[in-house]
Amino acid sequence: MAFEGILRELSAQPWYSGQIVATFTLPGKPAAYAEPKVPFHPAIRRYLEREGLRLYSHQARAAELILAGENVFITTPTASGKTLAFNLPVLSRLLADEEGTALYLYPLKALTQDQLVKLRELEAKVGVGFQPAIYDGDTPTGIRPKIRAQARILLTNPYALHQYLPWHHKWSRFLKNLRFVVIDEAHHYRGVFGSHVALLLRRLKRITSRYGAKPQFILASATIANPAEHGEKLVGERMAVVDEDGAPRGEKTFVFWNPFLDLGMSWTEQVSSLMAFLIAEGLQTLCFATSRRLAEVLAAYAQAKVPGKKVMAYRAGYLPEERRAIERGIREGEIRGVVSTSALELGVDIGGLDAVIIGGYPGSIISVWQQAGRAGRGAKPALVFVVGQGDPLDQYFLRHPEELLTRPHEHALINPQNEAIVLRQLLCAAGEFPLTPEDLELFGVGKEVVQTLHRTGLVAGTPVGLVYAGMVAPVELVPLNNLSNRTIRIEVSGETLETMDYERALREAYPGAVLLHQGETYLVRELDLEAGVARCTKEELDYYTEPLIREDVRILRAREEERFGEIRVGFGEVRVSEEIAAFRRRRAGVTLGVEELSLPRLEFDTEGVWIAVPAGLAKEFGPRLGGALHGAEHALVAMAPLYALADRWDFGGISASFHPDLAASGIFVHEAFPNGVGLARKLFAILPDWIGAAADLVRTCPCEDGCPSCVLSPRCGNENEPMDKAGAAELLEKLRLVLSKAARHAT
Amino acid sequence: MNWEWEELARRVRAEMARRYQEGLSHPQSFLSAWSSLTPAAYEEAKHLKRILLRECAGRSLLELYPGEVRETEYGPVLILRERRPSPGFAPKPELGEAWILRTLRLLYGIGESTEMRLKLLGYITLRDLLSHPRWAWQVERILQAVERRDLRALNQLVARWFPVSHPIALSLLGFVRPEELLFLDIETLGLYTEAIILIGLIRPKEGELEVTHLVVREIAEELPALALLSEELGRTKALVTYNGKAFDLNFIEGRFRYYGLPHEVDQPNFDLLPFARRYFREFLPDCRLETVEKALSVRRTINIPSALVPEFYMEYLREKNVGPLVAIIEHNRQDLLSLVLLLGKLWEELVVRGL
Repeated sequence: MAFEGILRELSAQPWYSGQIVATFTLPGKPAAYAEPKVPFHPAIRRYLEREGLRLYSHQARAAELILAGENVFITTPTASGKTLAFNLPVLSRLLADEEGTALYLYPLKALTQDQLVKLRELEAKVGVGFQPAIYDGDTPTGIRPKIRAQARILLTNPYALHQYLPWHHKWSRFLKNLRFVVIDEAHHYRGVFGSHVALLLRRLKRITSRYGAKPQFILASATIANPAEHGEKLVGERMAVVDEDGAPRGEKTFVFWNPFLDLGMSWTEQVSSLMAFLIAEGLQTLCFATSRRLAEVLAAYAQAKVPGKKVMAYRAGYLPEERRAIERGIREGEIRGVVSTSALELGVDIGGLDAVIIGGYPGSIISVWQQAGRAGRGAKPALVFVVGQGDPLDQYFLRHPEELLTRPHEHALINPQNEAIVLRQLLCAAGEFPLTPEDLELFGVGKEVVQTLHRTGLVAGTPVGLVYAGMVAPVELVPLNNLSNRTIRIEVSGETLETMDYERALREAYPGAVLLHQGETYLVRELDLEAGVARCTKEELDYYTEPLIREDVRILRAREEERFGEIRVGFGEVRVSEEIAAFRRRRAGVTLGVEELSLPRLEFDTEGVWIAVPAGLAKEFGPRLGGALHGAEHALVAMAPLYALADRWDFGGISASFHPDLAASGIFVHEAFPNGVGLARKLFAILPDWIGAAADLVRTCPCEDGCPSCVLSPRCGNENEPMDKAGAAELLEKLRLVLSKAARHAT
Repeated sequence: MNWEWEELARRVRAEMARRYQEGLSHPQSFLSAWSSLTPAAYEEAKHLKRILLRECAGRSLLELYPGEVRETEYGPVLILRERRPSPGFAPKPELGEAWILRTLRLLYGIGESTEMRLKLLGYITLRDLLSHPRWAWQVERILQAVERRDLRALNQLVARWFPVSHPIALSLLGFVRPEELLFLDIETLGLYTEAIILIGLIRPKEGELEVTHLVVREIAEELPALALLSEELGRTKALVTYNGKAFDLNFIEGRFRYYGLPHEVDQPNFDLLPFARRYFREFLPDCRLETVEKALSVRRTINIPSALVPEFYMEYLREKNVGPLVAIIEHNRQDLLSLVLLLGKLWEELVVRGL
């Protein structure tokens, strides 16, 4: 093991008291090289020779498939050179085809910036100029016509593509020559969002075929369990999967650290000490934190411990220039430590680091490996610390560390056949070209949908097909996801410090809130939602603030209610709300005071399923009721994606020992999207199966008091408290029993 | 399992209605670029709509206006056509020529200071430069273009050296014969890529104005209306619009492409908005056509705010009553007539006086 010395040193630190609970070393492997069987354009070959570059086997494989005209899904680990794997064959093809163009899609704007820089560097080295350009909401109006006229490589995001597709007539040159659509970070397109993007890509394909082009699709993603299936559903075409990683790997040592074995030292104190220690030992270290505030706090603490070395925080919200500067600092080694939110999980180019600290379970196994993948440069050994947080989910992994390293990666689930999503996307399509019966096939729906489209009152039948006839542009009517596009600027004496979306601003930038930015504290004086500004002053503050959030789900309209014996279940429209009613000022975990807030509620209407637990049954659980309901709710939410072909983030839930709309204790599982897309209805239709599956999940789970496979949720707003696995198993089993015995009665 | 399609459709309809209302009332909305809509104006428009619905019940447009239904290869379309007296503006080629000739800066290599120096040396017009060894060949080509009345070439030449609002750009209108000029203004269901519901055209003819409206009585008639528009464009050498560069022409091109029609709008377009900005900047708060009209003492009898056009059209479709459509036609007609008046004013003030 490469880090024995450092670990020995660590255990000799005065603040070490046996927090290391397990150590695993994953062996490294040498590089596997190969030559693509289909040759590159001579200019690319000369570039490879000049630079003395040899391709890893997966890069060569991807290149030859792409050059042979196939759709390819590349799914190899972080930092294995995926970008080069598709950039080389794309440039090669564009060199041979003087008019050819390529479209690159990224889920986040920050990535687009980064990739543009990379592409330009590669172009300069190869000696070509395809004028790659970013085209999205931030592109200045003045340079847009020039980009439309000249760019041969365009980088954008799905939201922008959604907005610009109806303007295809402005893009005829680009579209009729479109050879490649590159979709990076394809694992991002899951659930409802992924289903929307899948249909957005159908729209793109329909348009390009009208312009006479048939582009190849190239997908790249983090490791997921089902790349072939996901790729096919996403673009509606067969994909060749490249998943054998030829990049060299250094030995990787995983150290599991349980901070709660030393109750005398706070979590932040331990993690920042650990980070400072690694930095002092000469290891460039990246620490992942689960919240923006935590990232700021850890960076400041660690910096104070190693004053001579530069430690920075990195997260979404920083202005682009600031982010670029930090990325450069990491790449060039000037920054020795960085604490980041999941923002650095993605393909932002910072090179490899010596050590990574995973500061809390990031919510999925995919993310764990993305984060761990940041450690290591080529064949050099690397160190990964997994530091658990206090909630049962993190504690579970500390008790079963081998689980974290051996659990399968998640499946990416999408359902481009979801009726509500198809209907909305068809409206968008009808706004791009008249919609014909042949088009319906491309969207995977039958002719019966024409009737429904007519009933929306938004299309008109004409001899050339269905023509969009609404008063609001269809793309305005159809959001791709549930994020708001309102942005709040955080302003300090007239200068923008950073930006946040509206929801986050309500939760974090309320009047009186303390904001952290690169170790400085700022006090929010005023949150002006109309103007979209939070005005702050820079203050020396030694406390932090925490909002008290009240979540609620209310029934607006029951659409169907049924009785199974004593148990009432229902489905209908619900209002999900979140009220930031007050905040606390705290110092070192001690509350200094509570202050009320009057902020607009965050709320949206969607659809949900509810299960009312009869008083008799509830009584049986006594004081365990809360934990049993909570556990059952989590298990139901955990099983919902599989039963509704969606993603975990597409659902939310609450449980209550007494809910006024049910006049009983009960559980709600609701969709996370405004209006709903039919997922809750689907769950309701198969309610007995779904409850049965949740019951099996908990009952057969070998864990003792709950684990991430059954009742522990990474998204829980209450830190998985109260929790009672046995109670949840019992409750679900009872529900199952009643549901299977009693006939269904509509009420 | 099957989702209730009916319910889905209802929701999309409701969402549309909500978004549209939001657009009308929210100042930051997508409609704000269109026109401002005060609550009072909204009420007034609704009142007007009620009257029109009553007056027009059971009547057809052809009972109210002269016109005909024309069959095209894409189906029928309604054409309303009438003659109106012309306010008597007459852009003349001599004025265009005068502007070109006195502007030495049109030559490549001549800037402001060179122009001044040449004028001091007695080279007052381009013609004088015909004897100049360095500039003669360029001048010859320009004079040929003037001779041929080659609007496209002159337009390009002027656009290369002068801002779009410069009087010399407007003066080129003098080279167009009146009957080859087309004033154009469209009404649509939205600002992006929605349907066109009315195409308003004015062509000066025999000292009068021929006002044409291609009315999309139902969305299926948009395609035949566009086909007729492209016929009209075939007889047109130049267009006059208000904000047409950003809106109308863009929109029309988008719709041509939407229906796969092989046409484009490639005539020089005299967009009066920049000229109006140049001239009215000093004495008007903004240059929306409604504001400019007031300065030209235009009074509207039947009018609705632009933002309400989609709503009126939808009501016409729903109620099968042409009343709301009449309001849209009248609104468009007035826009077109104001455009003619405005051109007269700008021609006088910028081109004639500017010399």
